Amino acid sequence: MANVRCLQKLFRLQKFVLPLTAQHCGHNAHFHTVKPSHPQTQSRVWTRNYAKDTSKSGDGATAQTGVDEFRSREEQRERERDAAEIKQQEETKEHDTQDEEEQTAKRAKVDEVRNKILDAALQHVPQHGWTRNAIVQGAEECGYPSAVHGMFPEGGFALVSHFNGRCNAQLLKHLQGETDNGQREIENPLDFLVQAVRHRLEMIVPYKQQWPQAMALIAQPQHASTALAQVLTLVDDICYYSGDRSVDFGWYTRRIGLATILKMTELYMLQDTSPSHTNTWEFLKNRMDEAVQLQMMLAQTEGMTHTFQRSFNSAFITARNILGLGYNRN
Amino acid sequence: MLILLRTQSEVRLRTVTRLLAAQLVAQPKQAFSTTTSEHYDIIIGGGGLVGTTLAAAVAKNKTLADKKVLLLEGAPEFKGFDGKGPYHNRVSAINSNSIQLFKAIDAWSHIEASRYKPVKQMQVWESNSDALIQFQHENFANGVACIIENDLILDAVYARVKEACNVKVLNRARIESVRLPQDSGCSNSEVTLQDGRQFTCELLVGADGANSVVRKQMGVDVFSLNYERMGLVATLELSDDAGDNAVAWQRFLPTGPVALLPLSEKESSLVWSTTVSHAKELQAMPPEQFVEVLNEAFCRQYPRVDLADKAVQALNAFFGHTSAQHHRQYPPRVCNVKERSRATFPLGFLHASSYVCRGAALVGDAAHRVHPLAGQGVNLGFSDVRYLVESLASGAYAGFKLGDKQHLVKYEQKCLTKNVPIMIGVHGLHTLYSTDFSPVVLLRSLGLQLTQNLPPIKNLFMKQAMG
Repeated sequence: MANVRCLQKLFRLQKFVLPLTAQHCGHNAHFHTVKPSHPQTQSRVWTRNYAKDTSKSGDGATAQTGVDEFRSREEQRERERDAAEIKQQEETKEHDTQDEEEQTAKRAKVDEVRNKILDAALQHVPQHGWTRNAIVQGAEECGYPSAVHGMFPEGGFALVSHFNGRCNAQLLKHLQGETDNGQREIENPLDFLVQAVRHRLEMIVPYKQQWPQAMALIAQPQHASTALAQVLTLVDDICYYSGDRSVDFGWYTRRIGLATILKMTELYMLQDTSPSHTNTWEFLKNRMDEAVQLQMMLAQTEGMTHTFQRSFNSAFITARNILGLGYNRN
Repeated sequence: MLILLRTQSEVRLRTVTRLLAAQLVAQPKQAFSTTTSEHYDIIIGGGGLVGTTLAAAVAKNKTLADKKVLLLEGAPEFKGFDGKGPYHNRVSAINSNSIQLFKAIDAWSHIEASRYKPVKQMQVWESNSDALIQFQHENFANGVACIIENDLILDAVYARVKEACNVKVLNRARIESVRLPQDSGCSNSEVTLQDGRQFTCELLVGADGANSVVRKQMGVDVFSLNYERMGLVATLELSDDAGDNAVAWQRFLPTGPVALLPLSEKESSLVWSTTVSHAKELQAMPPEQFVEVLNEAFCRQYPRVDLADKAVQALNAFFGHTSAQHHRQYPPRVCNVKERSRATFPLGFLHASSYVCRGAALVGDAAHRVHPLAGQGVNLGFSDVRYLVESLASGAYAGFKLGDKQHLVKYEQKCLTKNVPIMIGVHGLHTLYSTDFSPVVLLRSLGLQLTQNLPPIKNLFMKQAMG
């Protein structure tokens, strides 16, 4: 902040000095037309003139009236300049907003095209897997040239993350519908979680054959951040709509626990051959029960953690006293 | 001429010294001591075993012999000890370090002249396995510990305190409040009694037990646990098979350890740590039933952990000891309990992380409180007394004020270094033996048997615990 103020002072000083030099050098305030989006060039102009100006300031001081005239003239000039500057700023702001609007419109169009292509490509996944080929097929179906697969630099993973995102959005709508947008009371949150996870995993069933490939793509380190973000938002949504409004560490533990169960059940489902995946849903139920038991056990040790904290504190102070390091105490 | 010169220089000297004194004494917040508050060098709050021993030790020390000591005890005057009467139910196992202390303050001859019992051997075993340990010196040359009644120790040290001319004892003097230099800003500690009397001192020693007022005022960090157990004490009569009754017996039951400490050839003292309800039950039982329950407690078979038994046998075989060599012996049968000798007291753990601050120090149970299973409680207090007197003497010799932090911190360092491992050990033993979870039983049985079979480890423990 201090730097900005200094800069502003410098600007004012330059503004003060400039008309003299302008008269002197005959630049005639051309700088008004110069775009103020390049303050560096302006300051360069000013510094140049300032250097020349030092010769002028060497003249002797004029009479008092001369100074007053000079001052009023300068103030007039400053006012004009300020007004001009404000007008400039408004013009550039308009330019900027226009630019932004253009850009957002462009981006929306691009996204639309991307989504169209990816949605079409999903139908080709059973045949081609989660690969660029599927994207190319989808693009050609939509009437775009095959070279458009360059729009998807991540290749197959773009398809996987699009699919995940779509399923997550679908699940979210389902959850909102079930709970009246988070307002309704959930009697059995555990059961609600199980049903939500089940609903989400059933969306994978049509692509079950190729899902191992998708999981391999997700596991790649360069895609880890996107994949993680998707899973965590999914889990967060499920937990929120199941009625969890906690503000303590339980917030984190519950979501991470649910994410673990989700991934484990997903893996189990891939090798499950039972009719309509009954084994998978049983597996899911068992994991949920285990998680609940673990949480209850952790809650029991909650009382012990207070004792642990006190004992750590006490041990620290005792050790300090034994070692003779408490020299600056009472 | 010379006289004139001398008076002049005297006057100059006097003014100079007055100026110097004014500078030195200038303390902005000095509380003006009123005529009603007496000033002592050391005030000891609490006239129990440890407090009175401290007073006697300070009186005996040559460097501190000119210090005025005040001993404040809340109870009425000590009634004295009758060496011919029945044995009291509160006894302590005194180790050789504490005996050295008594000898140094000339209290040991008083105790010797009365009655005490040296213990030649200690046998400790448990209920879930065969592990066993026996503590003794080579060929029973020395006693492992001495069992002395608490009142006899008090009598001996009070006799020394009465003899000392610089120690004053005030009875019925319960401490109401304390002000330390860190709160008041002046250099002395202030004590106010319940009846309104006020005293100031350079050093206030808190020897007032686990609920110490001095410790609360010092504001030190305290870690305390309630064991939810009570200790039951009683005086017992033994049957004729006691022999010379020079063995102390301790068995770890699931609820806690039960110990028989010999008092004479025919009598022993009981210390039974058990749950609160069981302790109250035992206290209320008729004597015959109590004796039966007690005898059964030492012999009763509890569900054993086979794995632990096998492991102990294997360990013994490894060391080449046959089972006959460390054959478990059983304590003598108890035939009677003295009437009105059964009493209970609560058990807990308390550890103050700092024992000192400017102008105050803690000794005894005020600073540390342990489970009686190892007989260490009062012995730690006596070792505190020794270290404190040493530190105070060296500090006074070097010219420090008694309440000065420098030598008090040295006392604290020495004490903590000695006490904390023992406290952790005793607490660990209590925790280990309060469960019958198989892995824990296995662990503790192996540990005990290993200690029994390896003399270096056994000697280490004996040295730590018994001096």
